[in-house]
Amino acid sequence: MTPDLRRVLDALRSAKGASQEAPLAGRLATRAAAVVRVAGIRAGRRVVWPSAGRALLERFELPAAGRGEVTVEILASAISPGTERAQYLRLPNARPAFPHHPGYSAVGRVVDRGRGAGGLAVGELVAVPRAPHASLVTVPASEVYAVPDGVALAEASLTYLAIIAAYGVDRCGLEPGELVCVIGAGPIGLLAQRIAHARGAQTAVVAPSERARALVELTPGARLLHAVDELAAAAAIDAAGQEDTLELAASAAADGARVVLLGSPRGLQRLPLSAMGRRRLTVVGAHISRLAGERAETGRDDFRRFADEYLTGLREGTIAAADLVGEAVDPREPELAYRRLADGSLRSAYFDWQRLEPSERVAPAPVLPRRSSAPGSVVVSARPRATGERLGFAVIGCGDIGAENAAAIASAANARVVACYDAVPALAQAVAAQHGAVASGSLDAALAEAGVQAVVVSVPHAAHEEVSLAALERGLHLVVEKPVAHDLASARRIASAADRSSGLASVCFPFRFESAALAAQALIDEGALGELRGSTITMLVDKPPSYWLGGYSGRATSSWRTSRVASGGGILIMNATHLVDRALHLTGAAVEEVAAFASQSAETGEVEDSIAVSMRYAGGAVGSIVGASSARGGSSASGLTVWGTLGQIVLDDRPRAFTLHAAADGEAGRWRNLDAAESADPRVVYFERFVEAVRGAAPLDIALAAGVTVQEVVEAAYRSVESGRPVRIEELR
Amino acid sequence: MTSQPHEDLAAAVLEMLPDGPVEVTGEGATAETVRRLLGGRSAGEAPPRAVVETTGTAAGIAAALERVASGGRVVVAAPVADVPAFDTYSELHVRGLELVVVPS
Repeated sequence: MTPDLRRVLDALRSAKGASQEAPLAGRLATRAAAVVRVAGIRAGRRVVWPSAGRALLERFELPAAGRGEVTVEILASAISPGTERAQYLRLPNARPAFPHHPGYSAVGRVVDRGRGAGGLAVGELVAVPRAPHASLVTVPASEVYAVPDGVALAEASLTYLAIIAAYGVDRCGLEPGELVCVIGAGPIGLLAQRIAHARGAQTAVVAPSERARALVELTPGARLLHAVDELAAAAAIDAAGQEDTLELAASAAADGARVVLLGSPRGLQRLPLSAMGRRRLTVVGAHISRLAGERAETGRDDFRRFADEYLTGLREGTIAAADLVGEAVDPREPELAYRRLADGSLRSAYFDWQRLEPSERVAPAPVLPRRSSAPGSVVVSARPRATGERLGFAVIGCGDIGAENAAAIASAANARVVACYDAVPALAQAVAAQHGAVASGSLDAALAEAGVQAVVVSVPHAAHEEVSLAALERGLHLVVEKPVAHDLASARRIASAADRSSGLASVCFPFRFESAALAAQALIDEGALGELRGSTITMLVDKPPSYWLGGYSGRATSSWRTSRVASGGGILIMNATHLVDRALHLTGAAVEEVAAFASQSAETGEVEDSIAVSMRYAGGAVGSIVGASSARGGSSASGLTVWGTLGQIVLDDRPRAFTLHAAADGEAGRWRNLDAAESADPRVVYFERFVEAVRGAAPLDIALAAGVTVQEVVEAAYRSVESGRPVRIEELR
Repeated sequence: MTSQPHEDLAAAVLEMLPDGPVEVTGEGATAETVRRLLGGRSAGEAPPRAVVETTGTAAGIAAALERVASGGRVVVAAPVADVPAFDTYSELHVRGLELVVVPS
């Protein structure tokens, strides 16, 4: 099979699939002709429901117009607040099979016309009943209707609803001047009322909601009713299809009247048989599918008659629909639209397809576009050039993390390691030798070393305060490895000293500069998360027993990590603080209350091995932290998840985001990958940006206060563990 | 109703029937009378244009709605009570049927 033929057959399958859900698009004539019209294949975008509650925008292809057909670029497609809401919620009588391509009624411009397509011209504006929500449809020319000049697009997009409403009015069998009562004030009900009014009938509307009542009051010729028993209408229309509305319509009708069931019931209804008999009422079904049956039986095209009646009425001002079109919504965010439709925050609405790029709406070449890179990737472009003198650092503490910080400083474009000090001289000598620095014999000597302008503190937590204060007293700039200190009081004393010092002070949370974290931040800054609902931090680590006596490398033996006095705690303060900072920084939320449980193990000594923390944020969002240092095998799921009303972000070993908005060039309603190759080591970026802040070339990214805020959460958790009760952050102040 | 209630009811039914084949459900006197008055208008295998339903029950009415041709009419000729929960969608609404109840 040739590639072209395969492409055509794929397009035919695509068109057939669409036909199952969209009757008009389904009756695509002369499909075989498409096989020889390879160049006539078009590509566009359409809404698809792949499963219950999900809605996506997908690319699709279809053959351009064949004999008797037109291809229409859709500009607006009306969302039915009745049928589509019922289908989305899977109410009774409204449960389509998946994948489902919803759609109802649209308007667009002819872009292709086949032979025998009547008088329609390319470029002509047409209403397209029963069109799926798609940027492009190919349909029989006999089933689209020219839109007169001067008619608004969105109003024309309601044509199919108007056909339905007009059929319901026809079924009333009204004589001019007679009264018809419409039960229900949705688009179908109000269109029925307005069409009946335009035909010369008297009209009344029973509106069940406040908003509907407001709409009725805007409606020419409509009476707003509060009781219907005395109305004696010549006909009544149940446009609501609710449990009691058929009975209500019967009450509004005069003896001998016709009661038309126009709104599709989404459940069982009360059937007022006794009143029907006593008052000689006739209940009449009016579903649009019957109109198609009548056309087949009689050859009379009432679809066209009703469409022309509506469109002409709009042009001449005898029918008003501007208040019925509702809100223009973005087809790139279909799930957001349907969720709003479901929760009632979106009533009348239409997809505005002009929000898509023209090349997305109608693509003549059916070549699938490929992304060249993962969406949402962010490149840190703020790395400075290596100009001028590098800022000299004293590295105080040369254990595992001290060595890592020294390496990052040495790799930074604007910093260098000048001096190293550690209580274990061999550690300082090794790191100093690696970076061409001096191994100092004491803390004071290191801080006084020529060229030292800044200090990075990587000593056991309880010693942070002594070293930091010594540096700040000398006016040196300060980087404290997280946590700021072993407890909150010590952290606050360091922060207080920093406030008094001429030196700049920061806490080292370098993972803020990971590509995924930056991409997440960009999404949140766009509002893609909506209102924060919660966060969860998981940090399950498999630390070997040797860790507790010598860290991961075993370069120096020390048991400080198992000492509550020296370290302040276990997995929470030692490791999870990175993720606590990430959660607070990303969300901008403040923790108000904390409750926690923890357990120790033989390996971890005085500090917790495992901990579970529950948090309450200001504003009501909730959070949790689960950490363990003896989770055998660790966990690939360790990381942070934050979620809000509009999306969710997961930062673990497979960073990703889901948003209902089409944010940051991603597609709405789909998970997107936030993972990207790091353009630089985040720790190196951290030091470079700190140096730039010292030089006044950039703002300080992470002030010491951020570390103190994290320390408050940690302190509250440990106090809760000890006291057995929740601890409010304000108790710590 | 007069002393010939079935005759009167059947006569009222005839006034409500559209042209075309008619089917009568039920075995009671009303059904027999309507059948007699209809003469040769009884339906064959094809769905009739009208069904005269003489049980007045919800199940009987539902069956009559299912039987009648699309766009057709069901005439209920029996004492009735309101039905609190009836499927008006599947047949009555979708197939554009008409439902009337003869006063009795």
